[in-house]
Amino acid sequence: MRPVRGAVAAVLLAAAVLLALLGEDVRRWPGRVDEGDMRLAAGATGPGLWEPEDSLPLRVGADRMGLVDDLRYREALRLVRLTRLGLDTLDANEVRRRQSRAENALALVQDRDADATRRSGAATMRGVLLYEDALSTGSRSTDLLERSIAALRRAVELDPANGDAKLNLEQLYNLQPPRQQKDRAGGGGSTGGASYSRPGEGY
Amino acid sequence: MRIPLADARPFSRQLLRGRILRLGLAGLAVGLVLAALLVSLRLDRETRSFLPSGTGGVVVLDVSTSISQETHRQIADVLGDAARSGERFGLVVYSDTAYEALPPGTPAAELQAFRRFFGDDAPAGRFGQPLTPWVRSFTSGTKISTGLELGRSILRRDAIGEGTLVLVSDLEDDQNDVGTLTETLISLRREGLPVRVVALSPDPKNKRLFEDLLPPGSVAEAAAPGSADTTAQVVASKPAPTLLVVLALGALLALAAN
Repeated sequence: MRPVRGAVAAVLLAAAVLLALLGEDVRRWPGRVDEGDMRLAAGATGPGLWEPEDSLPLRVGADRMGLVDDLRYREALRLVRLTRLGLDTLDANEVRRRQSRAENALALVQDRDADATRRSGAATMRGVLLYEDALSTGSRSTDLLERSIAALRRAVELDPANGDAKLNLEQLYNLQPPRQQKDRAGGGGSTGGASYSRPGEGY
Repeated sequence: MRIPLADARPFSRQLLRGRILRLGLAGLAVGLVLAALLVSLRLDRETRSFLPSGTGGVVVLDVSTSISQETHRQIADVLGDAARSGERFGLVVYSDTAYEALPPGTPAAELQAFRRFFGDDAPAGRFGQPLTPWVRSFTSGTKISTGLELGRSILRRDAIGEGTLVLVSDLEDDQNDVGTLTETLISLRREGLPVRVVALSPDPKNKRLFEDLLPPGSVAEAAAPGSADTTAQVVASKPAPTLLVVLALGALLALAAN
């Protein structure tokens, strides 16, 4: 009986160690996210800002911790920040690639995040980036301008309290050629713009 | 030769246990080897299925000025592979604009007719430059989005639900098209229309961009011209077969313990 007891004790000990390591990993996750946020706020833009830097042998993983949405959103913010850096020194292709990655990351947040407010925020930023794309692009800018408007409208649909999206949408509508403005004005309640807000509240 | 032992009987239990253990380890080793074999066969099949099967595949082919003589040979290899696959494809050719060269569902053998413009025996100009039918009036800048948009509209027109777009390109895009291309890829993802890319000697930065914009495993690099198998590099761009390595190591350990 003694060898059996010994084996059971060893298995239980191993299980306890495993559980302790997993528990420690879970305990450290909020700190890791905060540290990454601080690094981003301090100006760091390198990849993996929210990756664990400690050397725990076992990891629960961000997906099992339910952090995928949070980290995806943060990664999108990092990529947006990258689009603001080195504009004077980078070649135009690299600037476009950065813009492209940021737009894609924001679209992922807009499509997949569980939080409607955050989805709306991502759509707002995407609308702004698309507008910048439209400004810097030549012949096909109309298409990008329409996509920018669509992203901002989506932002307002997702979160009617998103004032930034409404303001940006209003600005964009004002920048459109007169004919399109007329079309918009004649569209009634379903076309967006002021119709997103209650009567008397403007955009 | 066996040496009979006078006191063998007291060890009979240990002998039996050792025999069972060895047989068990041998069985385990054989099982792991068989499992590794199965996994490796599946890997091979995944590699070869990079070109879509069925009638829903549309090859979107880059014939812009950025396509060099070397990449012309790669195109010949890719089209040759597709033509031999026995599947059915549509073909969209693009540069600054795009047009439908073959409708979806065309037997792959018809791609041979296009392959002849890209191989070593393709017609060449005075300075050895390839003379494709597009070079005089069609070949111009590169707007990848135009090819993908046309591919999508063709699949919609023919009501092909489970279609796949296969982009064959050096991934060099007009900088004014990158924004539209990104939006096109995003909308294709939203529609659930898969895009696969066969990159022809791409600039690593462009390849990385497509890898970032598309799901993992969607981008493969065509082999260098003259290589036996154009799909060879697809394996390299996929994640390492961890399961295969674990099974092989397990089999090795079981053999060593035996």
